[in-house]
Amino acid sequence: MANEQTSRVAKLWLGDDGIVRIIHVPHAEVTLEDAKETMAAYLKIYEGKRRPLLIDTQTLKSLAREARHYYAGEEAARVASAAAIIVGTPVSKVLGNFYLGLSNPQLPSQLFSSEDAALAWLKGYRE
Amino acid sequence: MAEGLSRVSQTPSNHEDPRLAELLEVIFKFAAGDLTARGTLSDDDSALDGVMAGINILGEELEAQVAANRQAQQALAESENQLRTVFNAVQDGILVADVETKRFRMANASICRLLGYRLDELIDLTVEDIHPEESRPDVARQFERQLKGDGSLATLPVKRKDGTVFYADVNAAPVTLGGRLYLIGVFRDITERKRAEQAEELASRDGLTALYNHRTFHLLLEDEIARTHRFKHSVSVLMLDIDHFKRVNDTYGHQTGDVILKDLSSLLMKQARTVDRVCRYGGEEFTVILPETETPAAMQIAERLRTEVERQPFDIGSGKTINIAVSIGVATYPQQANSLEGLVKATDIALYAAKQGGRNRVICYEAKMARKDLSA
Repeated sequence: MANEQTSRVAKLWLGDDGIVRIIHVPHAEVTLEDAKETMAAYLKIYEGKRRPLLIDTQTLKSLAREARHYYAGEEAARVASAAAIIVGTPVSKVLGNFYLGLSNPQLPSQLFSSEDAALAWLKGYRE
Repeated sequence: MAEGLSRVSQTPSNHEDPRLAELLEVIFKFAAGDLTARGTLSDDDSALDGVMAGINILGEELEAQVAANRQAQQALAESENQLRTVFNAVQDGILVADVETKRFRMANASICRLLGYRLDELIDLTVEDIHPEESRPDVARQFERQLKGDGSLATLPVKRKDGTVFYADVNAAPVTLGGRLYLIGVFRDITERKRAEQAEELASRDGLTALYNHRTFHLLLEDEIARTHRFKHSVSVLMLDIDHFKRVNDTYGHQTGDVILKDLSSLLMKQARTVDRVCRYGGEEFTVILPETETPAAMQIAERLRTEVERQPFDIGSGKTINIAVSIGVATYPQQANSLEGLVKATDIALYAAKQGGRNRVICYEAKMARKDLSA
């Protein structure tokens, strides 16, 4: 499908609601290279519009410092409008909190434990 | 304490959970300065995995922070080194003095060379220590003035370690460093320039009377005539000649003649205004340049000079005095001449007329004198 892509660590698709979902593979250990590959995959489906992102990190095992800073940087803020990060496991909660606390993402970002709440928040960021 | 930690870290079997021991091991490594240590995460997403993930992130951040700090320190040290190199390469001497204590805080290599002190010796001194005692009140005044940041230059005598003194142009400016007020002084040794100025001054003066000499008279008059064009005013010149000076020399000798010339010079200097320029034109002839002076005022000044000379007894030694008289010719530019040469000639003609008219008198130039001069 043209609105669906995969990278080594995640599967991405653009929903009918205009929100892009990014679901990580089990025990994903994300390096900078993986982050760039996932960004490249996103660029293939975002249709030139800044999209809200629903990122499920519950299966994430680690997120390298460089990858955190890359996601938090200018490039992501230029092509996406917001990021709702779904956390659940202790590891994902820790990664998510450090991401928000230390990386100062330029993209409006927030942690959620439920997908419904995340989607409701993202609707405010559709452009 | 470190020994105790090391012992615990080496005995994971003391703990029931080997993963907890691994976590402690990572923490101990951090404590020992090894910020590259990382713990492994299992795939069961336990709370301990969360703790381990957090510790790993803290390790990463700490490692990055330490590396960034080290880099910043290196950059700072390099920048300081570059600044110090520039500071020391400057040919002028630079001294930084604490305004409150007057003690030097920094000094460059040039000022150390100029003063003959090592840097550590100089840093121990105060502003007063590098100036001759008699100039200290002036130094203190200049210090206060430059502290106000007026940017002007002061020429001050500076004392070397060996006690010798040289002159320096000092340009100073206040600056605040780390919350304290300092005065940065830039010292330029002007010994050579001073020497050249002195040589120039000597070359411009007459050896006997110390008045401006013939050559300088022409230069000064040239400047004054240029000024008359700019400011649209006049300049007058007096030319004086001692009456019967040959008789003085023949009667009392040339040494006495020289004494008379010197004393007359002093008298002329005393009588002249600050703006006037008294010169020895040659032999017993003197000239006085009177800037911004029209003929009537020039005549008054000339008459006053003549009277003073006539009135003044000149001491020729052995308790003897003699009286002399002078004849004075007066001319004004541009009213009576339209060039420097013309003005000098007009003054000379007027002086000649004074001599011809019986001496001990002042005569102003008139055009008919020139006609007579031509016909002669």
